Amino acid sequence: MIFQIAWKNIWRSRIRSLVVIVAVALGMFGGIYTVAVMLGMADQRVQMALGNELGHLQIYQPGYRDNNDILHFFNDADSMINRIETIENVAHVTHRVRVQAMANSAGYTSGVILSGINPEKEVQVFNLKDKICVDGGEFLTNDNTRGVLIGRKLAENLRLVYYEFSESALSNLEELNFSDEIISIFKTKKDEVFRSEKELKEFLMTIMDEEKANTAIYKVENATIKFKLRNKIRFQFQDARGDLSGGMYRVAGVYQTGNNMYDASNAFVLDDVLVKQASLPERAAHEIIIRLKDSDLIDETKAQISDIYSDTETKTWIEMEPMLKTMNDMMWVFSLFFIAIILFALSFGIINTMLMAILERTREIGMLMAVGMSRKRIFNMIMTETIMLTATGAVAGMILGSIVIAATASNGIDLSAMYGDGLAEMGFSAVLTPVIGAREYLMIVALVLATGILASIYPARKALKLNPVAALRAE
Amino acid sequence: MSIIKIENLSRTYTETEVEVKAVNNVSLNIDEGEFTAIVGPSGSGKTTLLNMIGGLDAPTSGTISINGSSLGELGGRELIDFRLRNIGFVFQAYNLIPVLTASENIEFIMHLQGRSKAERKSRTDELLSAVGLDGRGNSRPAQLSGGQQQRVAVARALASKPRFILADEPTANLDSKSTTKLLEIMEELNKKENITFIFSTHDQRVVNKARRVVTLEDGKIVSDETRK
Ligand SMILES: Nc1ncnc2c1ncn2[C@@H]1O[C@H](COP(=O)(O)OP(=O)(O)OP(=O)(O)O)[C@@H](O)[C@H]1O
Ligand SMILES: [Mg+2]
Repeated sequence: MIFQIAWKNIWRSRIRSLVVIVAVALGMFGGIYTVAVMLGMADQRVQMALGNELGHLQIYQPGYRDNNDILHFFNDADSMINRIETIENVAHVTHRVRVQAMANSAGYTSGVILSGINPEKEVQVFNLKDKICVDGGEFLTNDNTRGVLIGRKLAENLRLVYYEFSESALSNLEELNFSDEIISIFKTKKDEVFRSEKELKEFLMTIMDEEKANTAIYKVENATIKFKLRNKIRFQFQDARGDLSGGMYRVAGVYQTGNNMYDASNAFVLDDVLVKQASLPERAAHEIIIRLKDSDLIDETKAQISDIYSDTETKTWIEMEPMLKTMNDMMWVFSLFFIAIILFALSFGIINTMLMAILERTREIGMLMAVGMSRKRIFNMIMTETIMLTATGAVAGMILGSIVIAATASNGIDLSAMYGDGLAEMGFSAVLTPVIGAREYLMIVALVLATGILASIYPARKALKLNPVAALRAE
Repeated sequence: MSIIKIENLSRTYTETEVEVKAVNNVSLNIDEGEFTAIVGPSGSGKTTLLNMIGGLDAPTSGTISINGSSLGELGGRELIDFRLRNIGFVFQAYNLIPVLTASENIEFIMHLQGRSKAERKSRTDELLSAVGLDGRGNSRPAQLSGGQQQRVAVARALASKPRFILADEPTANLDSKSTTKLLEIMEELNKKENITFIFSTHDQRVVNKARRVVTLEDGKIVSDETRK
């Protein structure tokens, strides 16, 4: 009955309560949505890293990770893979042969990690195949013994791209709300080729101010970029015997993961070809990468593998990139802190409302005390009322938050037009997908309840201090 | 047999500039089944006396015992519980919780006493009909007249099955018709159910209905007459 009374009391002063409820709801909505975006960013970063670079578990020869020494390889990676594939929680396994190489194309050079992969297995563990750029060729195939897959940033660095205002580029640009005037200038450049980002930028600066050019460059680049597929790249490296070795490859495909650092420094060729050039045994590999069925069991699976291959180094993605995990945890701590501040600010409004409500009901509370409602019950009644008031707003805010999160999660919030390249430089996706899990919701609910309880103590104590005789006499 | 025994009761207010002896050395016994009016001019100490009998205010000196237990010896929580079980209150106004219906207001007291839902329901209906408000149980206080509200307050006061009912100027806000009706109901409850009523009033018509009239002046009893 206390609940019923508390609930009805909230609606005695409808406007006043609604104001607080709406304030709490909006505060919660803002908080939750911001948190979801932050968590989504962090989560995407992890998913990107897992899918493109890390896998769940990686196995190395001890010491390989210290200096990527080509000599720290597994002799027979195939049999290891066969064995590991039988482990319950293992979904897929692949291997990579890795050498540190110098890539050279028409005089431009860049240091890279050249990995030899088995395309069929590779696509089961990593999703690089889905990251091939538009008109960026194709993923490696088993018969493409001279093909190399490079990141878009590496292609740019090696001048294996150019920019051109082609028919299709122009129609893309027209959709990107450039003014007709700018578009018509673009059209005059139709048959001209810009050989680098720098040249393109210089051109943009002649037709718009620097600030505009800085934001426009990203869109223009994306619309006009062309890859010089089948162009040659020479890779040079030290083979297992310490001799200088290398090979000539043709660009088979260009990928873009969204992490520019990675894209600038990773190239892929077929493993059979690379082991020969590197004078490694036929079935050698430097790393074995595992994708799990259930990532929550990562530590158990790691322990199983460590048992079988006790003289190897098995690392989880968290151990490989502790920063990623730290970043996720930090995002969450920030989020909680952020929500706590919002709730703290809201608690003043809640306290004020409740104090007004008690002041208005002085006589009634005095009467209730007189007829036999104990102080404890009065305290509980006010407390229940405050918590209900807070919770109503919070629940409304959470529902609103969930709806908006669900609505924006399917397509994501595309920030590429504003910050695309900036986010990619930091390894973040330019399309934000807000996510928030049950665990996070529960924590937020706990925070809201804590706020409700804290905010109710002062008004409830105030009500307790009422003297029934004085309260009943009050005019 | 006396259910209320008051001996040498005084209440002095010292917080004011001049000391006020609101109740000054009052001794009084009230028996079960009485229908007693406390009368006297404004400021004579009626409310102060009733508040002390009801355990809402503590005497400066003197004792009150109800059914043999001395109010002064009860601690805060015991006192609240004692009030809940032994005393029914009707005030001049603000008797009811405005967000609850008449029935819910009556039930609430029984809820505080921890009675079962079924018992609450049937007793509420009984009480509503006893105060002549059959079928008005679902009305909110604001939908009832002042007189009807006071009748609900009487029903609410009875709900806890108290030993007696204290009513401080229950008719002060009522017109004469409602006053008569409320008094009739109180008299009937007194006669049929032997419920003890102690009420204060300014109103001569109300005084005329009382079987015993205790008159206060400056905190002292100046007359105490019982009629047939
Ligand atoms: N809290 C208080 N502080 C100081 N003086 C008080 C207080 N309450 C009552 N008094 C004084 O005590 C005296 C008795 O007051 P009380 O309210 O009991 O009179 P009353 O007979 O009920 O009057 P009324 O008919 O106007 O209701 C008055 O002089 C009043 O001013
Ligand atoms: Mg009075």
